Amino acid sequence: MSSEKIDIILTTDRTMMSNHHGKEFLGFMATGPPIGMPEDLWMWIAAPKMKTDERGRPWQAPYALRKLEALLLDHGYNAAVIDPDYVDRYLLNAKILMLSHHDYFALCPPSSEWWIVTKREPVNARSFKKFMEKPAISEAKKRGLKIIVGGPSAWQWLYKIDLWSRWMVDTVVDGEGERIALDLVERVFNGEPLPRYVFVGPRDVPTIDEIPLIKYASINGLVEIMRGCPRGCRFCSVTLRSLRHIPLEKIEKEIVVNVEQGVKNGILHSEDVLLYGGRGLNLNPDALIKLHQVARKHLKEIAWSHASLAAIKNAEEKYNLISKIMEIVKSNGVQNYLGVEVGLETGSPKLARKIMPAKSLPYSAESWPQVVEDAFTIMHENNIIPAATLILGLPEETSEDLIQTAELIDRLRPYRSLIIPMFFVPMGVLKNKDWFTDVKITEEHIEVMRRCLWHSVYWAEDIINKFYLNKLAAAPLRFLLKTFLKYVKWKSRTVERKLGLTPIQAPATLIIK
Amino acid sequence: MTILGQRFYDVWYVGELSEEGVDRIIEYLLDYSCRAAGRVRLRFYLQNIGDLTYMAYVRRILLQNTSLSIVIEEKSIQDLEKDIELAKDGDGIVLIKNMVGLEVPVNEKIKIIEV
Repeated sequence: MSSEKIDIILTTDRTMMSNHHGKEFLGFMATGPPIGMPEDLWMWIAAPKMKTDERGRPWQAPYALRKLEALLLDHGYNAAVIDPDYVDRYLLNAKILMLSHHDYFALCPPSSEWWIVTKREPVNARSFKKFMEKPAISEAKKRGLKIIVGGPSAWQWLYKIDLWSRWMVDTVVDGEGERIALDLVERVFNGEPLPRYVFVGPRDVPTIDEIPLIKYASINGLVEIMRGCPRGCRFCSVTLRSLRHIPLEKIEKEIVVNVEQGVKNGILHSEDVLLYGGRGLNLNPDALIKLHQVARKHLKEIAWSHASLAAIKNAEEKYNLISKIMEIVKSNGVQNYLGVEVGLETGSPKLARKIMPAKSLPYSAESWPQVVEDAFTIMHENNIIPAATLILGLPEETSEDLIQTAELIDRLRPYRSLIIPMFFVPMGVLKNKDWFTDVKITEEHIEVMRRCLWHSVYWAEDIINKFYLNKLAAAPLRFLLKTFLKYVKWKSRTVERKLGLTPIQAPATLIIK
Repeated sequence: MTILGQRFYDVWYVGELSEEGVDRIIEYLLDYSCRAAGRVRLRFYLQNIGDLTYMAYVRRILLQNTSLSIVIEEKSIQDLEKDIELAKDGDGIVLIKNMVGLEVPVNEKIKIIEV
C-alpha cells in the first residue's frame, strides 16, 4: 500500500482507460457485449490494460481527464489521473473522486443498439458498474470522499437514479467542465455543500484561454482542434455550444506532449475537422494545410476524429484539398490511409431538411444523398476510410425515409467504409423527445440494419488486411478479428434463414484509382 | 472565471415535487431563458437530504432546457425559515410551495407560488 496522498483522483473504468491496442476503432467493441467469445478475450481485444508507472499513473488517459488534471495542477491542486486498477491505494486519503465516461450505462449509440439487438448488457456498462462496486469506494465514501461525475454521458445519471443513490454520487456535471470543476473542488476543500446537478449552459463554456494544455499523454494521441460545431443538427448536443478554434501553436504543444511521452500517432479531434480555421461553414484551405503539416512534422500516423461529408465534397471540388491533405499525410512514406468518423444519418432528403438543414451546406438538403455518395467516392479514391453512422428512429421518421436510406446504403457498396446504424438518443434540441427504445423496431429498420451489417462485413476484412492491422505485430489481433467476422457472417445468415429473409446482394464494383 | 459565483435566478421548491410543480418551474425557466443572467439555481427543500426520488421529476425540467446554466441544490426543510430570513433585497427569489400546513413567513423579498 502506497503512503502517497492524492487529493483529487481522476479516473474511469477499463473500457475508457485503454488505448485499444493503439487502434481507436477497436474501442467500439467495448460498446457491445461479448459475442462468440469469452468476456475476458473480448475485453482484451476491445480494452486491454493500460501501461502504468509504479504509482498507477497511466501512460495514456482519456483526453477529458487529462484536461481536468492539467486544470487542477495549474491551480495548485494535488490531482492525478490514476488507472482504475490502482485507485484503491489512494482512496484512503483522497478528498475527491472525479469520473468521466462516454457512455456510463450503455444508453448511447452504438451501445444501446447492441443491447437491444443482443438483449445483453454491453461490456462498457458492466465494466463501469464493476468499478463503482469496489468496496474501497464505499468505504472511502463513509470517510467523506466526494464523488463528482461528468463527461458527455453525464445526462444518463438522470435515468439511473437508483445507482446514483446507491453509489452515493455527490454531483453530476453535464457540459464543459473547466469552469465548474474549479468551483466544485473549491467547495469541497472549504467544506461547503456541493450542488446535486449542474448543467453548464452555452454562456458558461470556457474561452480558448481558459482551456488548459494537457500535461501527460492522451489516449492514442488525441488532441482537440476545435470545440462546438456550427452546423446546428437538432439531434446533437455539441452544436449547442459556441464554436472555438484552438490556435495551431496550442495544438502543436499538445501533439509534442504526446510524442515526447511515446505516443507517436495522433487523432485530430473536432466535430468537423475540415472546418478548422474557417469562418462558420466556409473552409480555410491554408489553415488546414498548416494543421496537417504540423501534424505530419511530429506524428507517425494521423487520424481525424470526425468530418462532415459536405465539407469533404466541398473541400475536394472547390480546392482539391482532400488530395492535397492526403499528399501531406502520405508524405512520410509510412502512412497510407486515414481513418475518420462521418455522419451519414439518413438517406432521406426530407428528413435531412427537417433535422439537419445545415449538415449538407454549402449544398442543399435535397441533394443530401448525392452529397453522401460524392464524399464516399472522394474518400475511397484518397484512401480515407470512414466509419459512417446513421440514425434510426428519428422523430418524424417514416417508412419512406427508411427505404431511401436502405437504397443509399446499396449505392455506397463500392466504397471502402463501415456503416453503423445507431438508434436515436434524445440529445441536443431534440433531447426532450421520446426515446427510440420506446418505439417498435419496424421491418424497414431491420432492412437498413441488415444492409449496414453486410456492407460493413464486406469491407471489414479488406480494411483489416490491407490497412488497419496489416503489420506483422498485429497478427494475433488480426486472426481474432477475422475469426469474429466469420462468426458474425455465420450467425447473421443463420438468423436471416430463420426469419425467412433473402440475402442482400448489392453490387460491389470496386473502384480502383 | 467560475460559474457558482455568478448571478443566478433562484427558484426554491418546498414540499412534494409533482407534475404541476414541475410545470410551474418550467414556466419560470422559460421566462428566465429570455433574460440576461442565463443561470438558474433550483433549490429543493427536502425532508430527507440525499433522497434522490425527486430527481425523476427534475429530469423533465432539465430535458426542456438547452440555453440556461442550471444548478440543482438540496437543503433540509429545517433550513427554509432561516434562508428566507437571510434572503437579500433584490434577490428576486421564487418559492414554489406544495405542502399543506407549512407556514412560510411572509417576506416581500420572496414571491410565493402555491401548487
